[in-house]
Amino acid sequence: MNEIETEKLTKVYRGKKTPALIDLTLSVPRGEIFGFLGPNGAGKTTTIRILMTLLRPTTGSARVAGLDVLKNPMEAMRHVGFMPENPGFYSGLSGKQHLRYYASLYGLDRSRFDGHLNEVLQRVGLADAGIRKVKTYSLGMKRRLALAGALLSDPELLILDEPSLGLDPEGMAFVRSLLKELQQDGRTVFLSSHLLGEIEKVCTRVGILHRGKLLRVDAPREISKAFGGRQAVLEVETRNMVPAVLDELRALQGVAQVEVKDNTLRVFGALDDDTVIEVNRKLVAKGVSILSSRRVEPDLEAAFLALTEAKT
Amino acid sequence: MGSPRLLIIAGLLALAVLAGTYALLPSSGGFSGPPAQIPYGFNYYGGLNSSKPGLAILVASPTGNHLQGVEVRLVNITGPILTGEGNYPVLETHLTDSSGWAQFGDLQNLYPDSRLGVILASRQGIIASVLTGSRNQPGSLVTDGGVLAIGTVQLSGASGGTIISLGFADQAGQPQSGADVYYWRLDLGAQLPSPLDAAAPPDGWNQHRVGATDASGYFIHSDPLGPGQYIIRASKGAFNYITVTTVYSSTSSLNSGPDSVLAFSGLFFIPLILPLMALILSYDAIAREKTEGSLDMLLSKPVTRTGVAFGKLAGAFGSMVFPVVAVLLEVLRADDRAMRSDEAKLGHIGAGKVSGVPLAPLIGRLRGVARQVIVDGEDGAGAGLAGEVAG
Repeated sequence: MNEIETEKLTKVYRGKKTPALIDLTLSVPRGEIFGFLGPNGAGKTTTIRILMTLLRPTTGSARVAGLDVLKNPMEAMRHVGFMPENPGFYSGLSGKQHLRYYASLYGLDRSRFDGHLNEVLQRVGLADAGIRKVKTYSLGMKRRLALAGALLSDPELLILDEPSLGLDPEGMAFVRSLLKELQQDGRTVFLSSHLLGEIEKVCTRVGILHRGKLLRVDAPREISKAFGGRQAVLEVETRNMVPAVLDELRALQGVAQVEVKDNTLRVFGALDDDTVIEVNRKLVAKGVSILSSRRVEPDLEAAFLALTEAKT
Repeated sequence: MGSPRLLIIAGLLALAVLAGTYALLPSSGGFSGPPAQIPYGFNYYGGLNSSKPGLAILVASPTGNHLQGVEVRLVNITGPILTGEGNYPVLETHLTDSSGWAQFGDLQNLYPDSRLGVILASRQGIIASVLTGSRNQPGSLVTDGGVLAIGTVQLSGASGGTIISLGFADQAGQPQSGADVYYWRLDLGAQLPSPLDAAAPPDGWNQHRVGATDASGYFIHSDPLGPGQYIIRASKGAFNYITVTTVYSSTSSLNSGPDSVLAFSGLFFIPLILPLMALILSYDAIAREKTEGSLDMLLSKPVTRTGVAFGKLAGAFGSMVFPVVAVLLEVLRADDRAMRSDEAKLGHIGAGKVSGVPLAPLIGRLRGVARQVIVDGEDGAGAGLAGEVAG
């Protein structure tokens, strides 16, 4: 059974000529962690807002947990936990009061409220902060509270819009482990991100959305391949670049391309840790003084463009 | 909707001003004050066949108390009478005597071809008028040789009504006892008999007699008249007077003064401004949730949009209606206690029983209103008025 099904979803915002979403047909079977990947403005949030009944599609239909979100929104929402991109709260209420309020909206059994609320707070790492007012929360804590809100009703399906946005590395690791837990429980997760690195680590399947169009749905490994040499970049800032080293670097395994500009070296390719160490070692051996060295996420916008162009 | 909160503060200020005005304005009658203090005049039209037409005014309360020392002014009506509040030139001023009467004599000679009016110093508006001049002048309410004061009283206040209350005096202004009083009711819109002077009900006047004037020449029929056209007749010996009064509804319009303030808040503020403020409040509540992002959290839960919108509206309404209802309920409770006690006098309910002194007059008035509303709503205006008059 598919937890999420969309049929030719199209959304044109009022006053805009280009549609935000074009004929999106997608299905996410139960038990999958589906990653929705795309640069900012690709239509990820639009899709999610339609699925969450926050937005009406211009045409097309969508089903969540087998229920049509247009015809039966209230029943459909009973089966989903949702974390919006920018969750907002009532600043004067505590985290626990929020959860209590949400729980009442689900009509959850009052007698098991408190124990359950504490459990959920514990799970997202807010056990101690639950009684504090939300206005004292950091951004990361607010996102954890939103996650608690999504987990509250113990839903079969979770829809998370950019779950690791604004989180510190520790928070990101926490989200990843939570997703794995959920998967082990057999739950379905639909998450969006604009970071390939984040998505490929946790997702069982990835859909690439660009300018409102679903370009491709595939396993993360296949998606990585599709990005080819642009998969990752190692950027090394040096004081004195020695051109002779370039050929040696190109010969390294996984390196697809090497560029030098203003004493800054860029190495493209499937760069695993060993390759990165080897690149640095070679540079030092040739007498290059390294000021900094860092791995950067690939420029997705450019990658997507390349992908679209390749198709046409 | 730049700043709804500012608007709400303005609304509350307006409410405070209303309450303040109401509490501070001198009572000019109506349900807010004791009925015994409502002066009312009855006009007397001297017959023009007589050589010296005059005007006699009896000032009495709707409960039948004759009021002494009330300043009565004879004015020259220079503008349209309907405006009622013009600055008419005052011709004469008299104080009512111990039986409540004030007389103005020889008007034909003193003020020929004039439209004269009577104003009570304590009230605004013309309470009686007379034309001097040719007999057939339109609008002159005169009868052959009649020497009579007659009138129907519009009780003020929400529970007010029209009752028959009249004084009967001779041409010299001497009150006459034992004059028979009759009334004959016709439906609204029914053709009135003509000439009126000679009109008589099919079953004869005797079937319609309601009483006679007392020693001070006064008669009161305190049951309020329902909607209809009333031909009212008083007669004694050769003197016979007939007048018509039309009652459109069992309640009358509100007076000026504190009552109008209360009427404003009752008729406009609560039904009009309150929902408006509630709308603005709930609009603000939803808009704020939207900008702060908590609306998404809310709407992604199993709730309907209409449910959320109505919930906000109900909340806004509730927050404002609650104090109003609380006050009204307290008023009713206190009023109920008062009614069970022997002192069930409308005018005395309230102030004396509320300990918070500055608020007492206001609460006393609110109690009056609350009771009117309830009595009117359940038993019709009749019961409300009866209670008031009996008190």
